[in-house]
Amino acid sequence: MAQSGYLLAHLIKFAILLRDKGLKITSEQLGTLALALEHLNLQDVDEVYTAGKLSLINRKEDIPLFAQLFESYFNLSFSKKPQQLETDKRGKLKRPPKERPLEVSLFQQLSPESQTNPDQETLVDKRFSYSVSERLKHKAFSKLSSSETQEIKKLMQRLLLKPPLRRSRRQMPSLKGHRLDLRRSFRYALKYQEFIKLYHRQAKNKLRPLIILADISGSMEVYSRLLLYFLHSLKGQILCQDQKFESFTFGTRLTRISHRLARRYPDDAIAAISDEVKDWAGGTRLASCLHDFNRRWSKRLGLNRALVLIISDGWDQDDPKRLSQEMARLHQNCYKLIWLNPLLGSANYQPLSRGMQAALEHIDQFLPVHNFASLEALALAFHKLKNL
Amino acid sequence: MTKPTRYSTLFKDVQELQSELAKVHYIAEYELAVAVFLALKLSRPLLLEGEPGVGKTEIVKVLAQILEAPLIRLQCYEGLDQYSALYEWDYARQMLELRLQDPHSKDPDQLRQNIFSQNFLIKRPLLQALESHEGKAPVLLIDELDRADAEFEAFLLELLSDWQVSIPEIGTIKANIPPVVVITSNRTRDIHDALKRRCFYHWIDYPSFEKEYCILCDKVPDLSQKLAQSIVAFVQELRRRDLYKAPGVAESLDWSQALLALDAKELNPSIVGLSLGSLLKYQDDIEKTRELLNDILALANLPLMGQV
Repeated sequence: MAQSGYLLAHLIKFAILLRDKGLKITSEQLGTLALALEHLNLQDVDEVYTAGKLSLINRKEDIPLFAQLFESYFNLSFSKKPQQLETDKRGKLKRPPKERPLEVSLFQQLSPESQTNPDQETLVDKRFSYSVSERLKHKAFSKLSSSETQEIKKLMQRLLLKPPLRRSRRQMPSLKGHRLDLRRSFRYALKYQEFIKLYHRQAKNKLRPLIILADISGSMEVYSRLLLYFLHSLKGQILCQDQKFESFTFGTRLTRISHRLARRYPDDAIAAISDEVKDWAGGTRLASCLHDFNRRWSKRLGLNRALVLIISDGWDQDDPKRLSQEMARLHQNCYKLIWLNPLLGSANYQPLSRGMQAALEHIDQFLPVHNFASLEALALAFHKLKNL
Repeated sequence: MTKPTRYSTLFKDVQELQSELAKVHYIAEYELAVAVFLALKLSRPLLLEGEPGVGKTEIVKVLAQILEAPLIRLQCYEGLDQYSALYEWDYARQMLELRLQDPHSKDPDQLRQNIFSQNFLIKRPLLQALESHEGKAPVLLIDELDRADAEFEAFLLELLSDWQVSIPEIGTIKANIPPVVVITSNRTRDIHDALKRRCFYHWIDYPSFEKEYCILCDKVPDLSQKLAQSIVAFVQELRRRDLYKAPGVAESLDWSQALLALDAKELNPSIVGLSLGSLLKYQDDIEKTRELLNDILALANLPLMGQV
């Protein structure tokens, strides 16, 4: 059928657009949508929209983006010649309009990050040679120009940070485990009425939870945006449901931001966070915030298995003695405590601030976080932590 | 066969349930009584969360007692799997059975059916809970679910929504009468929403002054009225302080017994200092309380050090 050909072509174009915007659309999902549309009234935009949402989207966070893209893609083509809707049948309705220029404008309109048009983007990619990125990687976050910041953000998304594993008590089938899997062996034996092959079980490994406490006080202002971006890209990596990733910001008070980071676009997420966080670029009351964390959250998050990162420059208005106490408690209860300090990047920095002094004895690793190379070093440090 | 007892019609109203609970020495806050009442009425599982030592497990025990129903308890731990929670096949007996049968004379399919029948099934707590005894459905306590891992929660979904369990070799086993299910959690992690959705949720808070006083008098009858009042006032004041782990009801009961054993007539700084270990379990908390002891005793309307 020629008409269905138009429809399919249109769907595929739509899917390509969705994928370009970062939604994960499989061919199977698209097939489902095509099958579903057969049963629907294609003239009813709401019906088509709902079918599309049902079959293509499986995360609540993606719905607004989908709605937006759907509207721009179909509404534009609908509203081109509204009179034809009445007279013509499906084929006309779904016929792709002159797309090229339209799509280009769509691209610019919708993506907040890539203001450049596609042609220029490819140019950037070509320029993005090894030496450039190496130089960028060692440039301090505080000295980046805005275009360099964009590059660093791209690099961040490619950086994989894998927390160490722990051995869980749950068993999984395995060929060389220590425990006999009688159930499987028995079922297999029944086939031949003899135990020919024995199956085993062994402990399953799980990723340790990762908990991040990020300082967003005034002294950290030049770093905090980029670091929040980094948290967002980390959150995006957490794919298996089993792994826990929790993040908090602190200045004068502790705010949980894990759920805000779930938004697809980092800029949306960071906007949502800055709406919620009331103590942005203010003072630092680290001891009080840690106390709050220890009391309210440490028991709820399965802290004893978790890897905890504190990102802060260590300037604190609270009593250093209290900080020392709270750090000791946190350190005692978690698996490993890593402190990331952006100031550590400069050669002549000495951790002399009273807060930093008090905290130093209670941390497992003290690492810089002033440029991209230091994030890579962090990934390496994660890798080196003993598994299990 | 005895007529099945329906728990949904057992209690007329919340007050009746509350007084029944009081008869077996459980003083329940009104909200908790409502939660239990509704769970019985609508045969819904009840998810109880709260700090350790507020009587989550205890309410289930006394509930089984007043319903005169068997109590089946499943203590959760990490790695708890369906073999220890749901069912397991009795492999030793199955193997013996295989040996006893002549493999050539029988149809293999028939043999398989024999071996994978109810006779060779070892029923673990969750499966046991689907069986009623003398027309009475049991009370199932799934204790400290937060200790089990997320995988385990998945086993519970089918059980809690349809009161049935699917065993591939046999089929589906369904409860005639739904059991009374209570799940407790100390909230060391959050329970999955899919499971929460199926349950009534109730957060058990620390009891009010009056309730706690009643509980103390009820459970430790040897306690003098004055001492009991002081103990409750002291503990309630402690909970208002910024402690790492505030004392639960279980701790205040322990403490009263400790004070009785020390032959205390009233609270004074020395005796409180000596017995604080039965109330607070963190060294930091104990030190903090020792420092503020006079303040807290004063606030609890008790004699100060100078007056003793």
